[in-house]
Amino acid sequence: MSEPPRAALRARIDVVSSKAAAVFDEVVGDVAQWAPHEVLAAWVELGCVIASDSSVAAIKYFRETPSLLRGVTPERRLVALDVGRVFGRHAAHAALEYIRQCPVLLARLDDAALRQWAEIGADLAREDYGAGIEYVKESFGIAGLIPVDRFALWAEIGLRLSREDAAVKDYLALSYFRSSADWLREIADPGLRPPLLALALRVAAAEGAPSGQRPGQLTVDLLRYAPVLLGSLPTDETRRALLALGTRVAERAPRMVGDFLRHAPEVVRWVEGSIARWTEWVEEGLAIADRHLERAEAYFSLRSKQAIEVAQRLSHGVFLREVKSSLTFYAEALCGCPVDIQAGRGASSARTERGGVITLPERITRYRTPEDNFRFYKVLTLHEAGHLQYGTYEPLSPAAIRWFGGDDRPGEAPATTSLLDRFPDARLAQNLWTIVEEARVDFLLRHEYPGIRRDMDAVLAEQLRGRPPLETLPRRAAILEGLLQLSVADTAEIPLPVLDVVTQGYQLLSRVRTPGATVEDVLRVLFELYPLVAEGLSEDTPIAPAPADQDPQAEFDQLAMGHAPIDSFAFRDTLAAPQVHTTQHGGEPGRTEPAAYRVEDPQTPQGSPAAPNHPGDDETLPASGRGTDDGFWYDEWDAVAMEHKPRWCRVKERPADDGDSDDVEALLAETRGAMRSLVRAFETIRPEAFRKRRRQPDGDEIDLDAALAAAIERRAGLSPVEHYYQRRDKTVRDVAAALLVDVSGSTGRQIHTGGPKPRRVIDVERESLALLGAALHTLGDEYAIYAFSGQGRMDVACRVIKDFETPWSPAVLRRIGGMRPMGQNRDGAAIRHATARLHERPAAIKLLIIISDGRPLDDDYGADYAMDDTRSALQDARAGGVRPFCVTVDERADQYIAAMYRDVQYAIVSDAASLPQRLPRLYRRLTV
Amino acid sequence: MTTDEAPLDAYRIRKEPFYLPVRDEVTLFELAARGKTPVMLKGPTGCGKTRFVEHMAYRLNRPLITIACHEDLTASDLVGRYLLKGDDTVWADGPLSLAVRHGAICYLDEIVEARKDTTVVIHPLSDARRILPVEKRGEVIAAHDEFLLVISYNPGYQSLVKELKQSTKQRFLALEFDYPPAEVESHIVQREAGIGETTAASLVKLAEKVRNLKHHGLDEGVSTRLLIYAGNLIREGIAPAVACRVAIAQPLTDDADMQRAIGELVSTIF
Repeated sequence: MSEPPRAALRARIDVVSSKAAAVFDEVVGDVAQWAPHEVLAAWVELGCVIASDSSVAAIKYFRETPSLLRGVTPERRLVALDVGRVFGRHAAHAALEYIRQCPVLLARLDDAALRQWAEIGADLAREDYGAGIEYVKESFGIAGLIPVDRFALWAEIGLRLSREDAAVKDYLALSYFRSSADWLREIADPGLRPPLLALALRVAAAEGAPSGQRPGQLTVDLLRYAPVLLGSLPTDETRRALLALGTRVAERAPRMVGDFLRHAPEVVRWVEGSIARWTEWVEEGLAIADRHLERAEAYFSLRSKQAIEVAQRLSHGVFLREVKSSLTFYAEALCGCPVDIQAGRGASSARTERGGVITLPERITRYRTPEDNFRFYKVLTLHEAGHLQYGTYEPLSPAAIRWFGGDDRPGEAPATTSLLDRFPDARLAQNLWTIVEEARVDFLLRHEYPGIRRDMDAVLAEQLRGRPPLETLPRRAAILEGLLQLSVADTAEIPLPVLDVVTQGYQLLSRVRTPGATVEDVLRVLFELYPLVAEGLSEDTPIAPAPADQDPQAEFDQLAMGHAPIDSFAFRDTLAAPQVHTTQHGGEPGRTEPAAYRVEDPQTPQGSPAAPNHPGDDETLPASGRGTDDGFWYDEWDAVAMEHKPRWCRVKERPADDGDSDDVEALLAETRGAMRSLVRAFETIRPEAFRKRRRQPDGDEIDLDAALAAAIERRAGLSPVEHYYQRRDKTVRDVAAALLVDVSGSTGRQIHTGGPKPRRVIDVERESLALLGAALHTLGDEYAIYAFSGQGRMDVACRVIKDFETPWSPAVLRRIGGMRPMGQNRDGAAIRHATARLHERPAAIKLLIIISDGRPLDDDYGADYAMDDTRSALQDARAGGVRPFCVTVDERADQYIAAMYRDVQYAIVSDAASLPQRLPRLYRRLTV
Repeated sequence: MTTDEAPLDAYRIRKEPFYLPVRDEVTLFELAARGKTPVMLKGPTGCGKTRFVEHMAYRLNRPLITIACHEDLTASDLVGRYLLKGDDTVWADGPLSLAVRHGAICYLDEIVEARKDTTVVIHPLSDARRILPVEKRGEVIAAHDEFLLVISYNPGYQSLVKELKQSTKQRFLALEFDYPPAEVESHIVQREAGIGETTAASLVKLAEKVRNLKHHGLDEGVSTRLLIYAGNLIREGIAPAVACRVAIAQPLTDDADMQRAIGELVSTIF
C-alpha cells in the first residue's frame, strides 16, 4: 500500500477547516515520528469528522491528541481512533471529549466493550448533545463500577432527566452525570448497583409523586441517598428485596414508590426482616392502590392504621413452610400413611398411591397470635387427615355399590361420584353429601381425639360468625345453610317456612354421628335426605325473595362454595364430593410423559459456538488437561481412528449460579427429615479420631486388666496369651470424592413419582446432592460437586457447586438449588476434567461419582462414538488410581450401559425418585 | 437332677412379675425350656422382652442371670477368670458358667452389642452338645438340665450397623415381640402405672399414633415402658402435656419439629 502523502492529508483537513489544517502543520512532524501511516490517516480522518461540525473542537483536537495518543499502547491506537468516529458528525465535542478520556477508558474496557460504550454515547448525543458530552466525560468514573452492558441503563436515566430539565429548566441531568459515580461507589456491594439503576430508571419514568415531587428529583434523591437507605437495612437479602420490591411498586403504583422507599427500613423492622412478610405487606398495599389511590398513599406513607395492622398481622402470621415439617409428622402420625403437605388454595385432601396429600393455605394470618394461627393450621390438618383416616376417599365395596344400584362389574370406577351424578339435581346431591360427610368426620374426630374438641369448637364458632342469617337467603340457600349451620353447631336460627325441612334433615344427618359410621352410611342418609330437601325446595313459601337479576343457579353456587371461599368457612367448601378418586389416583393425568426436553436457560447458545481456530493446529496451546484463562483442554478418544484427538475439548469451569430462595427452601423442606436420619447413619460410620485397642501384642501402654489377668493365670500355672498392651490407633478416613452431575437439558424430563407433584430428574438430583453433601460433611470426607453440561466440544461447561476447599454451607445449598437443566452432555470431557481435579488431591482413596440420566449426547458426539469416549475416559481415570462409580437414573439404561461402563462399577436406579435415598447408601458401600 | 440352690439363691425371683401374654409366647417358651432349646427374643426396645423372661423364670421356678452385653464384654467376663486371693489364685466362675453349672436361665440382653469373638462362646452351649469349654481351666462344663440360654436382640435400630451372624442366629427358637395390641397395652399401662382406664387408653392411643412415624422420621416407636413412665407422672399429678413431653417426646427424638408434632398429638388426644 502506498503511503498517502502528508500533503494529501492536509488538503483533506483544509477543505473543512483551514485553521485546523494550520494546527495540523504544527504537530504532524511530531506525530509522524511515532505513528505508522494508517494511524496517521485515522487520526486525520477523525479530525476531519470533528472539524466538519466544529472548527474550534478540531483545533483543540489536533493540538491535544498527539500527547494523548502517545499515552495509548500502540496496538490499540487505531481502535481508539476508530471508536471516536462513532460519535460522528453530530457530536464533535463528544468525540473530542472522548479522545481526552480515552487513555483511561481503554485501560478499563476491552475493544468490544469500548465500541458498545461509544454507540450508547452516540445515541445519547444524538438526542441530547449536552447529555452525550456528560456521558463521555463521566464514563471513566463509572467504568469500574458497573458492567459496561449497564452503561445504557445509566445513560437512559440521564436522558430522562435531561428531558425533564428541558421542560422545567433544571440541571438534574448534569448533577446526575457528575455525581452518580460517587453515589454508586458508596454502595459496597457491586451486585446492588445495576438493580439500583434499574429502579432509578423506573422512578425516573414514573408520574409525579403525590407530594408534587418530580420524578427526576426523586430519582436523583434515590441515588444520592441509596447508600444510606441500603445501609439501614439489616441484611443483604433485605437490600436486594428493597430494590426488587421498589421496582415492583414503581411498575404497579409509581406514585407510591417514594413513600415506599422512604419508609422501607421501618416496615422491615415491623416484619422482623422477613422478606416473605415484607412482600406480603407490599402486595396488600398494591392491592389497595388498585382500588383506592389515596388510601394506598396513606398506606405506603405509614399514615394508615391498616398499614400497621397488616404488618402486625403478618408478623404474627404463620407460614406453611415454617410448620410444614411438624404438620407432616402430625398428619402422618394420625393417618398412619405417608402424607405430602402442599400449599394451595384452601384446605383439601386426596388419596394417592403413596398415601395422602393434604393441601393447606400458604399462610394463616387471620388471628392475632402465632399460636392461634398455628392452631388453625392444626385443626385444618386434623380435619383433612380425618378424611384420609376415615375412608372418605376409599372405594365403595361391591356390595355397597349394588345396594345403591350401581354397576359393580370389574373395571367400573367404584367412586361415589357416579352415584351422586345419578340424582336429578347432581349439584344438590353433592352439596348434601358434603354436609353429611363433614358432619361424620367431625363427629369421629371429636370422638377419637377428645383433646381437639376445644380447638375445633373455637375454630368452628369463629367460622360460623361469618355466615349469613338464614332469613336473608332465598329458600334453597336457606335450607342448605340451615343444615350446614346445624351440622356444625347444633343450633341455628331457622326461619319458620323452612323449619320443618331443616329439622327433619338435621335428624337424618344425626344418624352418621355415631362411632364407626362409614362413608356408606353417609350415602344411605343421603338417599333419604335428598328427596326430603328436593321436595322442600319446591314449596313456594318464600323467605326472602330472590333479587330479580340474580340467576338462581349462581346463588346456589355461592353457597356451595361457602359464600366466600376458604376464608369464611374452613372446611365445608372444598370437599367437592369424592371426585378426588379419579382425579388424584395415579398422579396427575397428562403430566407423566414429557413432550420434549425443556431447555430452561435461554442464554444457552443453541448452536455450537464458532471455534476461533482448530485447537489441535495451534502449537501454542497448553498440553491437555492444563488450565488456561479460557478453559481446560482435554483429549477425546476416537474409536474409529483408534487414537486420541489431542486437545479436542475445552472445559470451562465457572462458579455455579445461586438458586432463588424459594428453590432452596423447597429443597430444604423436601430433604429435612431424610437428612437427619442420614446424618445419624453416617455418624455411626465416622471413625473416632483415636480408638483404644485393648489386649494387643504390643502398644504404648500396658492394658492393666489384661496384664493382671495374665499374671494371675501365670501364677495359676497357665501360659497366658501375652497380649497385655493397649494402643491408641489413629483411624482416619482419607477419601476425596468428586461428584459429577449431569445437568443437561434432558434432566428437565419428568419422572414417575407416584406422588401428586410432578418432579424432574434435576429435582431428584438436587435433593440427592443436598443429602449426600450433608452426609459427607458429617463423615469428614473431602469432596467437590461439579455440574456439567455444555454445547459442543469447545464449550463443555463445568459449574463448580462446591470445590474441595469450600466448606459445606448454606451457600453450597443455594448453588445446588440453582442447578438448571441446560445444553447437552459430553461425558468424556467432564470425566477427564473431574479426574484431573481429583489428581490434585493427596487423598489415598479418590472416588469419582458420576450421576447421569442417560446417554452422553453433544454436537458430533453421539451413539457409539460418545460411549467409546466415555468408556475410555473412565478407563484412564481408573488407570490413574481414581475409582469411578457411575449412577444412572435412565430407566432404559440396560441397553447400553453395560457396554459403556463395563470396566467400572455402576448402578442403575430405575426408580429415579429413590435416588436421594439410594445414593448415600451406595457411597457408604464404596468407602466403608 | 435338682437345682443346686445355694450359689444361685440371689438370682431367684421371689414375687411374680406382672406379665400379660399377648399370644402363645408363654406356652412356646415353656416348651422350649422343656426341650432345652435356646430362645431368641426379637423385638423393639421397651416392648416387654426382659419382663417376659423374668416372668418365665418365676413360672419355671428357675434362677435368672441377666447379662447386659456391651462392646468391651470379653469371653472371660462370661466364662470366668482367676482371681488373686492372698498369695493364691482362685478360679471364679463367670455368670454364664454359673448358670450352666447350676441350672439357671442365662439371659444375654442385646446380644449384638457384644463383640463377635465373645458371641462365639455360646455356640457349643446352644446346640445339641450343651457344653461350655473353660479353656483356662482345661475344663468342659456340661450344662445342667435346667440351664436355658435366652438372648434378645432388636432388629430395628441395630440392623444399620450391626447384625447378628447367621451362625449365631440359627441356633435359636425365635419369639417375636412387638408392642402389645391396644387393649392389652392399655391394661398393662393401667396396672403398672396405677392410672385410670381413660388415661391409659389415651396414652396407648398416643403411642399408636406416634408409632405410625417409625421410619417416617423416628427410628423407633414409643415403647410401652415410656408409656408407663408417662403414666407414673400423670398419676403423681403432672399435666399430661408435660408428662408426655418429658417421658415420650424428648426421649424419643431430638428433632424440634418432631417434638412439636408429638406435642400437638398429645393436645389432640388428651
